[in-house]
Amino acid sequence: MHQDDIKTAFVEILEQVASVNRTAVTEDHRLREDLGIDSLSLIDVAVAAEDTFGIRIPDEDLEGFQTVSDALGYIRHASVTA
Amino acid sequence: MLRFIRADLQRILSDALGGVGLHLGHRLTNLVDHGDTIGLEFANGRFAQADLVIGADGVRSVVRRFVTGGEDAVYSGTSAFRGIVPADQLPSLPNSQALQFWMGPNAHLLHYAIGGRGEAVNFFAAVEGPAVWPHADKWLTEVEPGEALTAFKGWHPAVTEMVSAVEHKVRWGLFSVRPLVTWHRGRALLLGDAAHAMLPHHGQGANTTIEDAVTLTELLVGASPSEFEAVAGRYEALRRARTRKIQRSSRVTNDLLHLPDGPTLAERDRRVSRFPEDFGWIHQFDALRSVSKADQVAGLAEFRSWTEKV
Repeated sequence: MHQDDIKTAFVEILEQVASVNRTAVTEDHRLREDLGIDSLSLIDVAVAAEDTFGIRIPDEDLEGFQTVSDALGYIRHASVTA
Repeated sequence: MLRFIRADLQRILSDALGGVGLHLGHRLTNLVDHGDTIGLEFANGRFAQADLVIGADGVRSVVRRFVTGGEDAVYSGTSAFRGIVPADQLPSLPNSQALQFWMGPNAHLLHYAIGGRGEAVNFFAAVEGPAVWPHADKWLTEVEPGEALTAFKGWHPAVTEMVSAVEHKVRWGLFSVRPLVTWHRGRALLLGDAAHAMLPHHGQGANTTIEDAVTLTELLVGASPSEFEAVAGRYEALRRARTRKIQRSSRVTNDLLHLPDGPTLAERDRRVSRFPEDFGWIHQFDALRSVSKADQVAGLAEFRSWTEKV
């Protein structure tokens, strides 16, 4: 999947699953503090990302998702190595 | 909230079957994929062929090995002791009839009264360790006399009385299943602990299993075998995130319950006092209602009514 497509798809997940306004999202936004995505909602995001991108996100790795950029970097890497 | 002794629940369920289709003494050893059916091999030499296999065979699920091809049970690094003690043998217990948690460094213990008149106290004590589980294939390991009490040395007499009132021969390793991305392969599908075994700290292992069963039943009713992929997809969509959240929450709760004495305790007490509020989402869930909405959203109901017309 092209890098921009990954970002578009991920932001759409944030909107659908965590009710985040897609136009307000930037890559340096922190998932919890800036976008209000608590640890449980983050699991909804992870499950949707696993299904959308065909990857697996172990819970230990999920703990490392501080910003949107962290998540995108993880998904890009996981998609390539999957 | 309904409370059952597990044996009573089993009897209610098996009575409802009326003995039809219940075959005990068959240990599943292998599954073979035949496309539209699955072949089952049992340790007693018997075979069976099924349109659908629902693997509710627990944390060491044989069906899961077929679905994922891997080893997905993960030792938590914690283990447990259990026991039942007559209430009158526990003089230091403030209230033998209460459901109560005792929390401390690297361990916690919970207990509640059982028996028609609350004459006995059932306890469950979770402790950190051993770091490595000593067995590949069983979740019980033998313990030395006094080993259980060591974890509670210096605790309130109510706890030390309770733990030492029972002769502990074993401890139970606590395992969970790492989150799976799919719960089915061919015509085999996972349910309950086989799909999402969790630490017991929310008391939701059996409950989520029953939710799985209710959800799957709603989706299967009226579905034909050729619709199985759609049914499995909807079932996973409805169950994966919720059970994963409860698994995660149970792990976080374990760490909270086992904090050492010190500055973190005030925060711990604050969070524990918020448990009813913070965990309402677990207990206020209606599995039956969740299916009806999703059915409409997925268009599965439409698809079904279309196939009925054809």
